[in-house]
Amino acid sequence: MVVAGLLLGFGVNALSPNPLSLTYQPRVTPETWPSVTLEQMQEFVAEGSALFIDARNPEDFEKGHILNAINLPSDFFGEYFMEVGEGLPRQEIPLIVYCQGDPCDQSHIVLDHLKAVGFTNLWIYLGGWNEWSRHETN
Amino acid sequence: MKPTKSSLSASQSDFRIQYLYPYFSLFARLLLGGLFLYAGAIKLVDMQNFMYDIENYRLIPHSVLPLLAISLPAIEIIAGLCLILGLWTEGALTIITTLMVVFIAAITSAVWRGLDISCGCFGTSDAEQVGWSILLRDYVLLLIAVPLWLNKKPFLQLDSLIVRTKEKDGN
Repeated sequence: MVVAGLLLGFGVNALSPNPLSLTYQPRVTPETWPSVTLEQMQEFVAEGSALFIDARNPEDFEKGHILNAINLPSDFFGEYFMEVGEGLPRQEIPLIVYCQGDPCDQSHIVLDHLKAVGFTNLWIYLGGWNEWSRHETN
Repeated sequence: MKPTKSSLSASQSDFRIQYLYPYFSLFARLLLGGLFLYAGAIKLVDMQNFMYDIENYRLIPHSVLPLLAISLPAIEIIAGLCLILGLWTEGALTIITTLMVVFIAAITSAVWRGLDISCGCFGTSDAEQVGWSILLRDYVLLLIAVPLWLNKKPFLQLDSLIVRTKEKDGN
């Protein structure tokens, strides 16, 4: 059965128009977003000079989020964007997107969506909620 | 000797086990087999992203990732199909149970390390993040497999057809 599986897998891969290489190819990140550090985040929060977007699911957002952050979950982006999208600044102030922390891909998905609908002043906070909440509790 | 109340209820219970068990067993085979067939097919058409889903767990060396991404979905498909048809049932059940235990271990490890990653259980169509709900789902599926291990009496299985054909040929 395992042999049949291997034959099927390699057969399908060989016939595929985009076969998977047998040597590992790292993921190509379509866009590298400018990132902010924890210290920069603290300044932004203190000055209120940026808008924070939480890309996690609503349940995680409810459990805790960065002060005044707006929830735009990557899984339900369209639905949530309909409600809050109009009020978001297109380019005047930085939009900083975060998710749980490295590695998480929700921020990248939301940033791609925001760029596609015309936002330009986009940033990513890679430390995410993990780093921020650790700092908050210390 | 008159049958006592307790012996009657015991025989009723035996009756239920004898006549209902095969149907439950068939249901469990179809459910588990169908799920693995579906999950394997979804991943097989998008091996590239499945490979990155496995990579996110940070458990497998990079050199092994392509081999795993190519072979695992196909093995899931074959095992799922065999379980549905009742062909090489024991082998299919062994593979499916082993895979479920491995998946549970990987997800537990990811939850333990606080990784916020997609499960990848049903390929890229499954955007659900790893967590307790997915673990619970996998444990329930593992529980469904237990009765199949406890009683292997064949019911609507190709295995029994093959055995009967062999016996006829032997006579």
